[in-house]
Amino acid sequence: MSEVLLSVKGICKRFGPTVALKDVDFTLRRGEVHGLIGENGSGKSTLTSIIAGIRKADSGEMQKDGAPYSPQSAVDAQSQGVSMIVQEMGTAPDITVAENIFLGKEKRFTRNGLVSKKELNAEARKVLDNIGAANIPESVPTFTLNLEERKLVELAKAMYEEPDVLIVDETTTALSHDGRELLYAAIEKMRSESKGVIFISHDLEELMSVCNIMTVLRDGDIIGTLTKEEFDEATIKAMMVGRELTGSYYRSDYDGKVEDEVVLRAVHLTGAELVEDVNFELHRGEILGFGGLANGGIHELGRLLFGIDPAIVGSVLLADGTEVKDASTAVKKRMGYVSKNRDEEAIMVHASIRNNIALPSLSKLTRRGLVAAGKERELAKQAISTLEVKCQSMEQLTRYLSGGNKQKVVFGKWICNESHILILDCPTRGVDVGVKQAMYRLMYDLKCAGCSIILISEELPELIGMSDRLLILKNGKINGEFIRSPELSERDVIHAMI
Amino acid sequence: MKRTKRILGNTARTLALPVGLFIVLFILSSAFGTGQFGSLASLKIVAQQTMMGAAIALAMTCNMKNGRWDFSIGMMTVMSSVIGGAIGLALNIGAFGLLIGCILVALIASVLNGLLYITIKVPALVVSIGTMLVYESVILVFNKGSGARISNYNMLLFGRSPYVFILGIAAGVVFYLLYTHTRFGYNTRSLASNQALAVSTGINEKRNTMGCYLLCGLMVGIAGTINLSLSGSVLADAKFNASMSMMFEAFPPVFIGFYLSRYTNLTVGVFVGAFSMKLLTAGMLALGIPAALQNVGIGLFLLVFIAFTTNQEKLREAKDIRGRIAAVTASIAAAGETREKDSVKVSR
Repeated sequence: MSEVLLSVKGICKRFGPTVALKDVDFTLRRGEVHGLIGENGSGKSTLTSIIAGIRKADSGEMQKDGAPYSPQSAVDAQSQGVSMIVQEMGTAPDITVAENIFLGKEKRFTRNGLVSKKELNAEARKVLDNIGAANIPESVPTFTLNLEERKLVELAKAMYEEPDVLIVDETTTALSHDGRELLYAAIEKMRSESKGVIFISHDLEELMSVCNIMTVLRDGDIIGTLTKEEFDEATIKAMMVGRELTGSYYRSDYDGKVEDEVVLRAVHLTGAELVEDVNFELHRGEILGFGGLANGGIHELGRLLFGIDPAIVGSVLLADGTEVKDASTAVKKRMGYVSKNRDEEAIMVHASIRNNIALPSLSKLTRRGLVAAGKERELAKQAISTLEVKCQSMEQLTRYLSGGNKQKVVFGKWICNESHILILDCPTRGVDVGVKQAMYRLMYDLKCAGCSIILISEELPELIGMSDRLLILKNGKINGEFIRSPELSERDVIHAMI
Repeated sequence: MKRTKRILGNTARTLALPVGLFIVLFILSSAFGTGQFGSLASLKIVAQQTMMGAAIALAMTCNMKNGRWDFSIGMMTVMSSVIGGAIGLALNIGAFGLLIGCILVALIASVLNGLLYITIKVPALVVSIGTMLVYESVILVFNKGSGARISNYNMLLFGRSPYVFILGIAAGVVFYLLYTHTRFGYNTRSLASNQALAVSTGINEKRNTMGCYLLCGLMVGIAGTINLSLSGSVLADAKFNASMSMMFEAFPPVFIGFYLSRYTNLTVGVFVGAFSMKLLTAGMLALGIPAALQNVGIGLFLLVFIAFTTNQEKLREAKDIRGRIAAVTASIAAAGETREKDSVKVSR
């Protein structure tokens, strides 16, 4: 067994009344790519942020290379050989790429009190080239880069110090194939140099392929650690959720049965960005999938259909002839939209679960201009119970919920408004397998109840597994249509995407 | 070649506002004006006044960039002139005594603002309103509210050319170096851009905040020196008239500086903004617009400027969208014709 690089003993962490980590022990050895997996809110990010110096533990101790390790900040951790690429955006948009890479480390470029921009840029260039990101300019403001490029800037920043421990927290969802290859190359380099990597992802397949050891967390506890030989999808999932995941992950029927009634029609729908001349009909009780590459127009289509972005040509028509020109009309006509950007667009993070759930239903909760508090509470209670939202009370602010439970609240608000057309943009993004399975079951139940769903996703298995019909967008235009069938494979669909 | 083109383009965009304003005001004042506008002498006065406006605007910039609004800056400038003038006279070392006195008073006031903001944890705007009232009382109590009056010609060196320019430009250079090329400046910009990230990276936010207030004090002290040196006397401000107008006149240069910072350095942008605003005031004066209405003119200008810069991107997008609508409509029509032809062929 190789030498211990980093060890964590008896770490505890609370956020108010919520216990995030309970007496956690964790060991990272040299040459390990150590996967961390667990449901949302299981404590993965909390544990790694403590190791990376971003947060402080309430109790417990850490050692690195056998010596006590207690970083005071992320820069302190980096100087002691621990770097982290965080799940959320880890760059400052208004400063340059080079300034971001050396944020907090300008001292090394300072001569007589002044920072040498020339040296800073030259060094940043080297770092970017070293990780293979030669296409990213070092002197431009960071907001001019796209999401993937900004994540690669974070990778460059993390790799600059040549860390002994690299922590990658749920980063790959923001990366394309090429971006992932750069990240995997950096991980492989670390492994081959007998350093250590802690890798967090919800993609079990990716974890099983990248890691040589995996630790499962649940509700702030370490449930177990598996070596590569012990990796087994069913075992890991069972460890994560604390029970066997029985039944099919996706729906199991293949008749693709939908009603004839058309509930929504897109006619020559064109947006200011990407989406161009899109025509389709959505039937009652249909799950209509939309797939394509991230920049193919699928997400923009969702916003157009719900009226958030205006159509510059064409229209979205409902069964009664109403044209959806704005989100207000869409909500009045019992449509619901689950945005891909959950915290920014789908949920009010500083409001309670009750307020979030009641928001679209205010008109039916209002009597003589006043919101009936009793009815509002009843509605929230019903949603929390039906969707099994893990929370302390309906008054809890949603920002304290895990990703999966936030998503349940988002679903809850539209279901409580009796929405019969739901536009779901990446509804299972960043949620664990347990919540995913619950979401899929909910979608199927809604379909069976006559609800029509537009499912937008970048995950092909999800689209193939759940849709009655699948439309592929390429460069903003429909480039393929697939009917639900057991024979339909990812290969068939990818052909239309690329 | 590309670099030269970019530099020339950015320079043109940076200077477009003052040059454009000058041309418009020159034409208007030549046609309808009652006073002189555009002569070398009047431009020199505008430039002298720009130094003071720019120093006050620079004093605001660092804190405003980080979301801290300071409404006491005008009153601090008056206080630094009044008390700093007395200190200068007591030191009896000429203009530099005045400069030292003004900077000292402004630094103390600004540090007090910073300490209160950090300690009592209330918004900077609220702190500054409180301290503004305190400073007003201090000015009224100091020397029984007689303000400051200096008749010694040598002491008023920084109100005359070229010294007023040397001091103003020195203030700009100091601000530029500190904000753009020091670790303090890097930290300030990082905190303004992503506070949570900057703090988690180990940047000491409180220390940086105090640094911003110190820089503010330094700039206010320079403005206070120029303020007293230009006229030789400063009245105790009992009704906030002078201090309020100093503060509000400094906002447009800051906003203009923020906008122009995409084409040039922020410090240069603030100076260009200050010059433009003084030019506008001089132009309105030449047009015979009364002082009370001049503020209306400045307010309107600021609204138009902010509306334009905020919506500039949208105007550009609207143009692109018009092009896209035409292209997509033509493509749909062409596809429709093809379908019709195909159906005719099939039916035949």
